[in-house]
Amino acid sequence: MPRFSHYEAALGSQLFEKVKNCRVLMVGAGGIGCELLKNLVMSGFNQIELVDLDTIDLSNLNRQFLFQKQHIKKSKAQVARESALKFNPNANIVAHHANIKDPQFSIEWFKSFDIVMNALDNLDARRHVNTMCLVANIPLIESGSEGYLGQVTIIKKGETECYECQPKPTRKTYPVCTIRSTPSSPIHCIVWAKSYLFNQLFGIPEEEDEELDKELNDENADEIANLKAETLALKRIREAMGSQDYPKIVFQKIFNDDINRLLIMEDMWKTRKQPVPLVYEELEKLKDTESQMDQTTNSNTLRDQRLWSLTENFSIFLESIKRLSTQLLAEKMTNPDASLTFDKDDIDAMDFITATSNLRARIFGIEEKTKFQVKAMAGNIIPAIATTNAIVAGMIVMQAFKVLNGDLNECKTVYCSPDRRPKSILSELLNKPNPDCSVCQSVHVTLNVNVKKATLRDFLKEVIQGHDEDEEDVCEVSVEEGGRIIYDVEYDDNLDVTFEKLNITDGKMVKVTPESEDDEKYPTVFAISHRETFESPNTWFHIDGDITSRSRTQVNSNAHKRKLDDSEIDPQEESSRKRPAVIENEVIVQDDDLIMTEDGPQRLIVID
Amino acid sequence: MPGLKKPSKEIGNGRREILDHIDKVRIDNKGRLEAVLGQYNNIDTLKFSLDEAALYDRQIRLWGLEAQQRMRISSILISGMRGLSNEICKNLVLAGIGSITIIDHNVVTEEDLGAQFFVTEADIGKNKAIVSADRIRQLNPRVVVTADNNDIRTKSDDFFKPFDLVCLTDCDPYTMIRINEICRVFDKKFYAACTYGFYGYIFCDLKQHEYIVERKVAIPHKDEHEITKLKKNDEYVSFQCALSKADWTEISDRKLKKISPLLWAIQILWKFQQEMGRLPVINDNSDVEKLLSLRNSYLQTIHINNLLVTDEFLITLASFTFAELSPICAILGGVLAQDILNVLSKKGAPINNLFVFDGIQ
Repeated sequence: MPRFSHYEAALGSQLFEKVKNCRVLMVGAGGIGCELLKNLVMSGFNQIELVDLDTIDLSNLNRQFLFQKQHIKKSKAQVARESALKFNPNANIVAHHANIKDPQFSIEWFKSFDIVMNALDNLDARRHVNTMCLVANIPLIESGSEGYLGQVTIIKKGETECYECQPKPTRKTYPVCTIRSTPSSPIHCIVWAKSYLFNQLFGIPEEEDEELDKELNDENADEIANLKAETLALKRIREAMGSQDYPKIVFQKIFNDDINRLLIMEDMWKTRKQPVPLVYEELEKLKDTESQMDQTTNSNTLRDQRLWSLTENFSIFLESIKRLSTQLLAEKMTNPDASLTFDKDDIDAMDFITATSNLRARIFGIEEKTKFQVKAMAGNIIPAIATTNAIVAGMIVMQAFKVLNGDLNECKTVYCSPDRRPKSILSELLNKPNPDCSVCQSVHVTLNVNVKKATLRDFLKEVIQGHDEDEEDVCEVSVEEGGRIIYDVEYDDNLDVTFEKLNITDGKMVKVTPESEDDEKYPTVFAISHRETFESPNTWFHIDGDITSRSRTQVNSNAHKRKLDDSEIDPQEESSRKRPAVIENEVIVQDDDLIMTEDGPQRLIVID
Repeated sequence: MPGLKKPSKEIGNGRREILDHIDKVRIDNKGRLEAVLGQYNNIDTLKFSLDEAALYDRQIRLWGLEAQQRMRISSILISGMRGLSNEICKNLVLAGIGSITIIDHNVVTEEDLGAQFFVTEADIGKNKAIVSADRIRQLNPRVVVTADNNDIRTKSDDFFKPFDLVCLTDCDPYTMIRINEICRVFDKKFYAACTYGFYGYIFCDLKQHEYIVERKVAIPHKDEHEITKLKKNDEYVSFQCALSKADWTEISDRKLKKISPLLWAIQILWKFQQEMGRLPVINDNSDVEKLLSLRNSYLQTIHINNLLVTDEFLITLASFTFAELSPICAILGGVLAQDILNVLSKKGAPINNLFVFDGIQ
């Protein structure tokens, strides 16, 4: 085909054939996804499936170029497919407007692909795809971008680090008391407005009391009791929603009564600046006098981009409550359980959050913010541009060529960082898996099981223990699924419950960790795949994969830890969960000891 | 007037609304459009419509309103419509520059369908610039897109006057030298770039460029960062001057080893083009010989060890001269477009002055 003649010459006919026949899964059709889909189609990839749960928004159009204004609110996956087909009408593209975590995207489905490429923007989905690719044992190209920075890396079970080998920074959380009683920075006020007040008034209030109890200690018993009373009072006020003076009632409670109550706790304000409550009537008067003045001075700057005056915050607070109340009440007409969820692109919600947090900031003497700034903090917005995504997507395809060629050794982690001029595109050798990674160091097998018939007991007996074990023996393992414990030595209530009744169904992952003293065994992760019938009539199970095998790196990592003198070191000492590390004259390797050399990161072996 | 298009936006039913933020539209003496912002020369008072603020929200949060405003009044000329320039156009238009003129006298062939996404099979035989222009416009109707189907080599000096920045792609060194000189005379920013298969380069001559570099510094005990701004002023040399650089002795041997052989190989390729008036054809043995001998003489002149550019490397590069690979175009196009945006917004350190990219490494 002439359009690909140069390609074939450049790649070589062998690699080009592989590209043509390769089945690619692309997860995400947003910033990186649009660019990546374009590159894949133009690079001769003929069989592409893509998954994205999102719909198109105006703010996407500055970089997600497969979408235009007329596509707003439509499915990203589907529109991306339509636009990309224009580049090559002969390409096979299948689009799924769905969540990659849906059970329809099972292990078997993942296994049908030769390579998976992530174009995601959240930790949760990345973790999921990482696990699926490890279990299915297919290469994953992971990527990310933020502003001017971008990154691409390869994940392959047993050969490289997986997504969870290095801990990822978790989202910052704030103590409840700081948010509710003693804020000291703008973000505290914004979190209060968004996570507490908005939810209490319009959303589904979280179990605020539980959160408060967690922070209970000897010193703050009074404060906690006070806060609980506040929440209760607010709940009652909510019932008055829709009435004429509802906004005024809310205002008085949160900006006046509650503050006065806080002031009673004098100890709290010994070293802190005292809050000054706002008085509704005073602000109303101020508003009336100001409206007689001309407000054209700021007409050139966008309303969202400048700081609002006290009266503006006041007015917008009252108005936005009215608008949100109206909206909620309207929804309740058809659905009595209706509630509003915070959406950073909803004008009313953002007006409310901004005005509310600014009024609170005013009370506590904290710096106020523009709506533009508040939106970024409340909505966790990550700035994004087309160029970085284009570069990242190009790098993904270049790495894909190497992966398809079987040249994993040639693959690198590639960074796009313009700050590091003159080398704005840097590459680094891929890292070996972290031997202590709880995700990729587990043995992964697919367990075909009839979830309707098989019980936990059957599982432990047939799969874990094996038939030659004495049936009386207690199985010394812990069994977990989805973060909850299904079974352990002290908890055997579920032994005779079927998988299905335990909600262990198709696509779920079951982790079995030995609790024995023999530390040879690492956890095994069973990916559940439901099957109705089995070859042998006596069993409901079939295992796909070697349950006793350990990945190569586990063996290698022990070699790392071997002492440099003659005496034997027990290599499992470092990885023992139960026994404390015994440090005598032994060599200890800390995973944090990495040094940068010309060849990339190297592990540093500390010699005692 | 032929070719005249007032900046406007489609508002349905085939009606167009004249964008009210472009204050005056002036036609220059060649009949070309020049959007002038009259009283809005003062950046501070330039208005953004709510729609634009929403559209550009995610990028304004990155580079700020002022940078966005500077881009908005910029006018770019891009020559050569192939894979690389497709990417550059896409990136610049999405970012919201003021206007872009694309010039290419060639027609679409089937091979172009490989890496150029602004052309389709139905366009084969038609002029590249004209068929691409419509699709480029769709990416962002706010940008004024003009197509010119002439050969850039036939353009007079005055043709380049209305633009703020000129970017040549797939251009021969002779034309690059000439247009670079014109840009220097008129004080325009100059870029030239090309991809050869897995390889590519970007050259720029910004004559004298003033810009700001921002550094984020974490403030202890606070969640936010402080942004410090540094003013910088860089001077550039012309393309001709860069070509004739003969003294590389100030660079240590150790550093030389780290430099990609591509740096020399690209220049050897330019030398070939200057002497032979075309790119080398690898199947032609005499071309290969010529290339290798040029390498020998060039490296000798600048006192660089011959071994730094192997036969194999040079021949591989030369074999790719007509090939366009989409991911390479995407990477280089992304780097180049971002550099152009930085230059227009006077923010961020630009390339100085040659960027070479080895996609195989």
